[in-house]
Amino acid sequence: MARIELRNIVKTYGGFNAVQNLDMTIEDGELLVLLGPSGCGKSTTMNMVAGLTDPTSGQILFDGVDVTQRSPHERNIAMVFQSSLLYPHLSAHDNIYMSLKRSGLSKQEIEARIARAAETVDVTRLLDKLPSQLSGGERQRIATAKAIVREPAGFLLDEPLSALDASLRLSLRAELVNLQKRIRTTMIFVTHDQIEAMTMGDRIGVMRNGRLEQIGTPTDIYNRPATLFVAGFVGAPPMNFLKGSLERADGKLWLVNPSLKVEITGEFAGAAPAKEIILGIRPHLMRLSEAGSSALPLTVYAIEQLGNEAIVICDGPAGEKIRVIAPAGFTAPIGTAVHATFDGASARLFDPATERVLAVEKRA
Amino acid sequence: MADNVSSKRAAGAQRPAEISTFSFALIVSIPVLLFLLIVVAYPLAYAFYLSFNEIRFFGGYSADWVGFQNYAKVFYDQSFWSSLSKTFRFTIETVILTLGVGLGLALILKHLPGKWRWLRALIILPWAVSPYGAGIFFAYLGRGQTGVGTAVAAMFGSSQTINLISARFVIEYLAVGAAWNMAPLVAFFLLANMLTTPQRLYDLAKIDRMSRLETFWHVTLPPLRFTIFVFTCITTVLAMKTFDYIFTETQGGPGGASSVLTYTLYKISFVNLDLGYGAAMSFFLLAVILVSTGILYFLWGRKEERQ
Repeated sequence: MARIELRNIVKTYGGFNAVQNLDMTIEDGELLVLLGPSGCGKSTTMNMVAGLTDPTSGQILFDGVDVTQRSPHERNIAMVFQSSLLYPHLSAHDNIYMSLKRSGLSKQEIEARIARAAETVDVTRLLDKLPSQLSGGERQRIATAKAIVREPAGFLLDEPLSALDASLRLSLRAELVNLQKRIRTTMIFVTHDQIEAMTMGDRIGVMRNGRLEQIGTPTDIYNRPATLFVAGFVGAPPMNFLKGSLERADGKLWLVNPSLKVEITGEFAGAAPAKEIILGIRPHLMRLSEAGSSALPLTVYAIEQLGNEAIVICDGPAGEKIRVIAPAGFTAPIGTAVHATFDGASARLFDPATERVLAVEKRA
Repeated sequence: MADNVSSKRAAGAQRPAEISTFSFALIVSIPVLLFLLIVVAYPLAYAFYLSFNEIRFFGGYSADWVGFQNYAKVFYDQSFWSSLSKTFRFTIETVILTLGVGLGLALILKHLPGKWRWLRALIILPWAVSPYGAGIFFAYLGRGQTGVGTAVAAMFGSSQTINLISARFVIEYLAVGAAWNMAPLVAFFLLANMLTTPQRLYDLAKIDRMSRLETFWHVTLPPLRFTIFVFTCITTVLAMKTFDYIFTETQGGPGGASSVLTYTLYKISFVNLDLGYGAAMSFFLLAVILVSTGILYFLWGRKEERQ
């Protein structure tokens, strides 16, 4: 168990910047999820924490101690890889044993620890089997046992569930979170699946192009995305975006575009007028309505029934796709004209030039 | 329900009957089977017939039935036993060298830096040389007057001629040449195998603090083991039946020092024209090859198959 700090980490491969000026702290016992599309630098970051890749510059600290130059085993980390990598010719027991072979522990202590780790993830009856005789989920559990048996300072998981089928992924997700809370170890979990990130993380770090876009609790990331990328990447169905300008009239702030005029209240009410702006609104904060100046004219493109609600996918006036949540069972022929409204207080405003959320001066 | 089944049957009867997988396999392999019958089965049967006869060419061709006499004679033939031991010596050395060099080459090729990777394609070239050509090539390299031994000695200022094809080490020298010829192919297959091992497994080994040797043993080697077994068998058979390479390189010499079983057979059958006796002895070679590969399979191959 340890507090892991990354200070101004840079990693370049030739001319390619894999990770740029990354600052991040993972608290002791915390589960941090690194989320991002492939190639965003999340796996490289994890490899640097593990000691498998040397950073070009910057420091990595475990509990305040600089470990940047230390090898993986000196850092006392454990790692679970994609598709639950195991040595294919060794039994489950021997795979777990390899984690402790060089630990200097006595034979009895090692066996006791293996038994305990196997018990923790419920694989005692599988210890004699070869990896090829195990199912995907069982391999995953053995890989987890192999990791926790070391009682590591940090527990790193690189997309460990991505090769499994959906239902298994669902149950193992909960198992891993439960395990992490039970053994209270610091855990970094890398994934490109935003649902996995939302459901597992104490905090989520969203990465893109080698940069940390935003780090925060799942609720924070979902409700208060700091950049356009985070807003579009996190949340299913994804956030809707509308282009327009910000104008002040009658002492109120308005979002105006050729088909819509909505009053902006709440957090962004104090924003300065601007020519170009992108407004983001979550589909479940929009509802179908009568026509009107504050209602967005839409054309139904497709409807997805989810059982408890329906996602109405529409073509917007500027050709963009707009998703609106409607009551379960809502139907309309494709091509039907509908309208949708939303509350200007729940929208988020982004500057298209910086792609960041609009800065608002705090009103006194 | 019953109607349904019978109507299906009726529909089936109208279509031309499908042939079974076995019949299809038989039909497509008939040309090959015929070919094998002509070039393998017939000569083999004829050799079997010859081995029970004494064949004479002097004073007109004659074949006299002698029963198992030719086979019995082999047991008392000193040159058979000495040829057999040379065959084993050549085979064991060739197999170990070929597999060892092949594995080494594959490891080097795997770790080639990006701009040298084209060497992977070039390395196959020695295998493209026919054993016949390799024999001529290594004969010149080994001789005192033209060989590398003398050239290296001259580099150090010595005027001595060093002959690599000496009675004492000619088998070893032959094995080196045979390995040179075959190892690139082994390297090629082992390299292909190695490249399927995920890089992440090496990361796992690092985290587990494995030594280089342990990493080789637990990560690099396991996926190669079956290929190594297959090539051990192939190289064993090839080495035991090698003839052209030795014929062009040493002609069984110096003296009879490299007269392996195939070369002795050639001399008996085609120089001395003792066809019946040669045929009998050649069945001993066949038995040796079958037994050797059989032992390899039972002691090693079955274990690799189960994984």
